[in-house]
Amino acid sequence: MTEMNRHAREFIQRVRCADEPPLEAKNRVRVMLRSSVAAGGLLLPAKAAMGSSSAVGSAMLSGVIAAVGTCAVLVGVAQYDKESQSAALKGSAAQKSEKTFMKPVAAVSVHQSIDPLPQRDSLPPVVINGNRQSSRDAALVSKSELPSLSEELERLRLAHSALEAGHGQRALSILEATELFPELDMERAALRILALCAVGRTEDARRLKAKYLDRFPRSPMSNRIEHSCATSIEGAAP
Amino acid sequence: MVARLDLPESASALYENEFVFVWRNLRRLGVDSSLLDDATHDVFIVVLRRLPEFVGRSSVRTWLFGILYHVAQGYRRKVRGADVPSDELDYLPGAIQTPEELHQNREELRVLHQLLGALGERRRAIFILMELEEMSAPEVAEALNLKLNTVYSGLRLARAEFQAAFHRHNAS
Repeated sequence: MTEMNRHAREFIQRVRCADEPPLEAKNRVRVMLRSSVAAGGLLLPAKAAMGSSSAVGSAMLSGVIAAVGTCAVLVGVAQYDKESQSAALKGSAAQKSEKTFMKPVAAVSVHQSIDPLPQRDSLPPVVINGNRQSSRDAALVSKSELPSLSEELERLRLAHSALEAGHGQRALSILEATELFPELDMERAALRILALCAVGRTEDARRLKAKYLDRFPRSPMSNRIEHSCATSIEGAAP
Repeated sequence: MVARLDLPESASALYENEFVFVWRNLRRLGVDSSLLDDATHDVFIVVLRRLPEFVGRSSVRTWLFGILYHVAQGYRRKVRGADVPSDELDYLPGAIQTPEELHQNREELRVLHQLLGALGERRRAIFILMELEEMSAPEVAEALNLKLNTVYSGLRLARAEFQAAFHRHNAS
């Protein structure tokens, strides 16, 4: 049996467009996103991943934060969307988005979030979910005991900071504790390769690099991986 | 890396336009309803972080699904390892107009999610994208990083599994 019968197809047709979230869910998540951004620097543009698009990335990131802040208070972001998209597409710097669209609260958030890789020696308190409210206390208790994606993001940022500061071994140590979220595999693996290169473990880096490029052939970090590791291994360039 | 700027929406519009897509597909992929807000939040956190990497080779939804698929995997692992209440579809769909529609919709969605739960993880994703989101096979291959033949074979199996589960449900 390889095809579905008419009843199954009709059923799918009925439910295809019926699966919508409750009306308030969008606002709830919007508020959560705003809290996450306001918690400080969660959404830093990743230098290793952004390359030449960093200015645009910052502008667009600012745009999101501005929208998050605005939407939590006001209804409708159509005008913002139109203008911010135009600004981003023209390659405007983040300044323009902030200046034009930011609300006071969001302005603080943007300042924090686009501040490039602050030097921190320890993880900040995990406050990302701190203000969330759930109608199901049991689930909330369970969730509080679980590792958070934002915490892992923070660890990756710390590893990146260590790497940028020339502390490859420290970066590797931090990365050892970040194996929890598969959605961050690409960034984690890239950082590990760069850290291995930094400490001179070129064979390990080479081995991981081959796997990385096979798994993430379209990664925007591929060029950097190719450049830093390949050149150090092959000695083709400084 | 060459940054391409042909994003169909600005980042804020992405949230406004694709929130429902992200939310419903997390749900379809088996994220417990008590965790849907958190999972959706986490998807957009990753989206915000990776937005500069989006180069427009795929559609926004294809790109988004690749992200939410992994987030959903993580949340399902959490549920398996934590004492989260079993999911009983406790949310109220937002577009329902009458109590009768609400009741019918809730019941059918409950059945849908139950039937989807009978599929293997990858086949479930393929089925969702092709049958419910009506994406093309190449788009699904892009979203799930699969070969095209794998998508087609997975779809055949998924349809068969769904049909069997649908038959069992109606017979019970």
